Amino acid sequence: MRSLRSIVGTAALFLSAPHALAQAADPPGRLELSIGALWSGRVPLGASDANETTGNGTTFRLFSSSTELASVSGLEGHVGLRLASRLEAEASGSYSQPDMRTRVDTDFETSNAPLTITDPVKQFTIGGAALWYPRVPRLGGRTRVFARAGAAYLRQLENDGALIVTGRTYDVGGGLKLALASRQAGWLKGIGARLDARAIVQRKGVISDNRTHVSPALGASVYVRF
Amino acid sequence: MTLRGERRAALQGCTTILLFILAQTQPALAYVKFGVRIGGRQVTLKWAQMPVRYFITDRSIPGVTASDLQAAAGRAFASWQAVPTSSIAYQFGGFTNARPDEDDGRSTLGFLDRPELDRVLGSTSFLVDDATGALLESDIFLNASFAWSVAANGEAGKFDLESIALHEIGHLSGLGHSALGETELREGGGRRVLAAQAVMFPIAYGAGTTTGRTLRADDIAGISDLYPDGDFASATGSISGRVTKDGQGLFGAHVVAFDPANGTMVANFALNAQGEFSMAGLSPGPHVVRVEPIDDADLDSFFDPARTIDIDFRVTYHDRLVVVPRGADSGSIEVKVVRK
Repeated sequence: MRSLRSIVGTAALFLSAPHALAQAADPPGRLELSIGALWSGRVPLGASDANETTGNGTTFRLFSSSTELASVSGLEGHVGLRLASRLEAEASGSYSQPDMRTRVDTDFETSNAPLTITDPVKQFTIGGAALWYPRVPRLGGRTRVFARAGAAYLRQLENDGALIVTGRTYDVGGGLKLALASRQAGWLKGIGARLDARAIVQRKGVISDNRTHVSPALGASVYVRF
Repeated sequence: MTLRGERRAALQGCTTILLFILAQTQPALAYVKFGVRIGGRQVTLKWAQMPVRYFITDRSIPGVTASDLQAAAGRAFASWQAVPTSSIAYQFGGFTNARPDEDDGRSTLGFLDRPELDRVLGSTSFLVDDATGALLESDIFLNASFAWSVAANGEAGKFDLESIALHEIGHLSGLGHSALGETELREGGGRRVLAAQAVMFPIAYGAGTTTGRTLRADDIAGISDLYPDGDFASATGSISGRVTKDGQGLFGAHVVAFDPANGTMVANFALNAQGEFSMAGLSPGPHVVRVEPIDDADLDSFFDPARTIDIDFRVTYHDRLVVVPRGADSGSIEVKVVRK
């Protein structure tokens, strides 16, 4: 209860400082830390059949399969640095544990299929992005819209690290930041909430078909500014 | 010590095969390789020295000269030798008057008249060093009682010489039979191949087709496992485990590893009473593991006829994707099957 009361007290301190509410486009502070949840949509990894070859060279399907990386919620953090009035660079990292799922179907020899078999994947990303804050009319001084473009190194551990694969992701999207409180004085300049929506383009990693795969992602996090 | 593998075909295009592994041999606990038991230990049958030198019997049959045979066999040898992850190499030693069934220290490939073997297209025999298990000689005979073709695109009603030679050379190199294929019973006996995904499937395609000239992933994994080259060992991995039924190991179950990333299949059998199996040469990544009874060929195509093989169980998938590490084994898995 003591810690909860302390947090409430801090928030009240910020909110009760009307002279410090940011009305300008640039919030106080140059450094921003955020942490929150990131939901990533399913990534279809493709379908392939277990084919045999007939005497005349055509294929004979023993069974079919389709594989996906299931949608998952994980953690994401950012460290942002304001470079210019409307431009910010940020380093980002995330962790999630999606299931790789293969659905087996239409087995020539059994009616046990369809069935879905899985393998948990531990997934880390670390990368960087640029955030640009456009001027948007009729948004209050506490809300800022941003566009984001980034790239990340992807590291995926299958079967508790029995196999480590790496890849790359690229993302474009945007979001908004809502300042819950801010002030010009002191080392802590503000706190707020952040919402992200992105399209993530993934290459390689557990994807081995050398194609790019696009999936949606949504994030919600809290930030503090220094 | 001798071993003999035969590829059989019935008349009228119906094809079957038997592979004899004599009583003193046991399947090796690794891949689809021949194994022999020497001094109480299991030894994988393989060539100790490269290149493997072979000779061609200087005998023609109607439609196929000795030179035609040498050219077709040469292409088949070249296909095995071209596997980039294997170090197997062959060298043509010349034509010979020796028959391919003589123990003369020379590996010989040629035609023999064996009309009594009315389903045998070809056969491979071995001369093995009893002390080391090393191959000393391996002969391949092709049954002159059948009609053969060396035409580039095959000929109706004739068996493709290169395809059958490719299979027998797999035996010559030390590979046993693969069960990656589907068949159906024919009226009057024998089986017809619906499809196969291994040159080392024991039953040949029908006459007139050249489909059997192409090595498949299972063949490539097998020859590479026997004679690894380059980074094969470090770039691929394996899956091992047990097949059980009612809590007991299941000998002879056919285990297939399917890579959903590229659609390839590599297979082996549960090769001891504990139901243990091991499949090597797999690409790193998650695999689907499927277990099935051997019901697409005669059981003695794969095992000593004295062994009892349980085929009373359903096709079963392992309930997890099995991740193949690079240069290592997946760790033992257990696939539990249930009776039909």
